[in-house]
Amino acid sequence: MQNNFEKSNNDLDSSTLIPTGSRSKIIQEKQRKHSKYYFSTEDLLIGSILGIMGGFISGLVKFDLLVKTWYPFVGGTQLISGHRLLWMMIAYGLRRKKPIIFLTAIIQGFLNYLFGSQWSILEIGFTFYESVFLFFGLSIMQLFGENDTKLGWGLAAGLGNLSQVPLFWIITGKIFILHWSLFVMSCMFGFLSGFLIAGLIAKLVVDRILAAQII
Amino acid sequence: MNQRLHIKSRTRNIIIAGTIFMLVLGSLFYYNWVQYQEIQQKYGECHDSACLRIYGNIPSERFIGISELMDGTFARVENITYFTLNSVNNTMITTISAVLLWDILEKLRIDLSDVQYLRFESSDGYKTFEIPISLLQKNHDAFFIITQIDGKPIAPQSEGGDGPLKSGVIYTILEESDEMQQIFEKYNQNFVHNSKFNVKYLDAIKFY
Repeated sequence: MQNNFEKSNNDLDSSTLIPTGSRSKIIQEKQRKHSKYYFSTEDLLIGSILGIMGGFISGLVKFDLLVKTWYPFVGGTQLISGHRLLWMMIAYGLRRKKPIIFLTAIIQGFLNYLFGSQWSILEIGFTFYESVFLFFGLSIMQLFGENDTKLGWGLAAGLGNLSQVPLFWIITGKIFILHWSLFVMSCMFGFLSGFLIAGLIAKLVVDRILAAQII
Repeated sequence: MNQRLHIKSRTRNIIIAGTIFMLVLGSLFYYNWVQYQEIQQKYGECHDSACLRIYGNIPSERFIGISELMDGTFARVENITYFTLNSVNNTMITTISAVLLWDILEKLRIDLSDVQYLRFESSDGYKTFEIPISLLQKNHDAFFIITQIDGKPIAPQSEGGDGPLKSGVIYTILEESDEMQQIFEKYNQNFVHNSKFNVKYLDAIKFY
């Protein structure tokens, strides 16, 4: 007669094995309720890692070369500017806590500053400014029940990226000199870039990461 | 049935919004493209790979080819240290070689008697703030047409560079000018800085 140990061993196969490192949702929920911190260690790690990746990639890679070699007007580089918000959106998607956007933004902005941004320490402020609008965008999408759809992500990211266009045009004084159509086009390019890169591509990346159960 | 109708109306709304967005963008692009083509037609008189157009309230429009700017026809400065101060008080230092704008105007005998201001313009539509002509007349060595940075010719836009020509104005002469202070205040700038006049893809100077 099999003892309980043998019986339980024989019953084990690949379909009943529990993946290593996972914990039950009930235990996680209990721990979250007892934690006095809003961000868990995992939240901080993911937000930081994505902020660092964003700082390196968005700060060092000259994405604007993809546009400036062929686009004839001022403001064309806004077409590719959505890469700055990509990392914040991925962090939000993986952890589903909107404030993590701010953490990622601050770290990304700080790294951009260290890499010699022309805006110096204000780079942190500008990245944070974009993250605030991204936060609002996601909050608005949540109100409409679109916070988990491609459209919702796209619109939120589009709004976040669009916000930096008037800011930079006012700071540099371009808005007072150049034709309004160039400004409006820049805003539209900023929105489109945010929608596609920081919205749709970020959603695709997040869905793939979650499906692969890496995190 | 209601859910299917709801999804259909959502999709329809997305398509309508997207179409309107692209129509507006397309219209604005077309408007700017027509303006751009009109300006490019004027450069038909240029028989060089790139030209600097001098126009405005002067007797006649002039085109100077980049070869002429590089071959020593006009007075040049070589490998000088150039400071750029930007709108957030950040300083950048580069080494430039450039042609003096004043020498171009003198050698081409351009009459500035009806001119009050000048501004630099670029091929992508960018324009600078106006600069009082008196600043140029009092500071002949302070206004440059930059042809090389760090000893190398500036790559053109098609190759990802900021050239082949850029403009430059020495910061101190702007800072000391009361009129420049007023101009910067008019455009909501906190302080005078010369990054505004470091025009990339420089292709024209307007005197008016």
